Amino acid sequence: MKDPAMDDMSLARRAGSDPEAFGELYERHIRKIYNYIYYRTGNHHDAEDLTEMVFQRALRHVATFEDKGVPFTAWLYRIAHNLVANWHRDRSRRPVVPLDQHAAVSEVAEYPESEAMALEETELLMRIVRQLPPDRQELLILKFVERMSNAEIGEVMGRSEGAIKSLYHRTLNAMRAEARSLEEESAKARSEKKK
Amino acid sequence: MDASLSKHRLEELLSDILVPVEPSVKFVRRLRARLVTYHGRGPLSSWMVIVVIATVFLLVVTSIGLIIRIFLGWVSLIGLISNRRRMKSETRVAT
Repeated sequence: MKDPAMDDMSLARRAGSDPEAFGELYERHIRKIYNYIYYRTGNHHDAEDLTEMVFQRALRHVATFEDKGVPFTAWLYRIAHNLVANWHRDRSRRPVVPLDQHAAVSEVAEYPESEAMALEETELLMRIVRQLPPDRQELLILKFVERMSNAEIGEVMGRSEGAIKSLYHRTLNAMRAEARSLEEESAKARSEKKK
Repeated sequence: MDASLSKHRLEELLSDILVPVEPSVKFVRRLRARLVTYHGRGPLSSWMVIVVIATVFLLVVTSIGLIIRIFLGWVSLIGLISNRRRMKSETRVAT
């Protein structure tokens, strides 16, 4: 059993030759990476596949990992980011409708009206989040799912704290504008239906 | 969704929907086994490398020994045959 106080960098230095050290890093970061990928892909199946690929790639390259003042987590997030980007590129070539998303939509009719409205609101917001550029999605996931500070997010994304703060405000403004335009569109559609 | 969505309300909504999800225990355990137990202690293990090298060495030595025995067997057989022929020809000359 490894010392829980041992930092990621010491473990990363040993992980190339010591499977237990890699196992400890795996235990520490599997949930973070899984969450990140889950919110970037939107389904558990792809999140599992991509998480597995992230750790396989990390295992292959951990021996060459160098401490350049960036946290080990940032290195893992970078691998995850690249794999998710490849995944989105492949999917844009062969678009498919995720089954769980389809199931969620078809279940709406069984809920009471208020629950259905809340679900609709959640789905709309998730759709807006997924339409954002990758760096903005990454920022929101790290801020709300991982509860990281702007400085920590900056370390992971390779930007300054000020740049993250500014990106965050621009992201919220863009989301509000998108929500407003979607609301206007649906109001227009409702009024046309009544006519 | 409220059209005049305030920044604060949007942050609240994001906190509600972007919550940590837990990967399945089965997945976490299976992946750990694949990465650490099998891969880590498998081909990369120094003991495994020593065992493989020793086995290959023993196989090579055994096969070389077998080849040498077969070669020596052939040589002695040829020697016996030629010796018998020589003895036959010598008896013929004597008689």
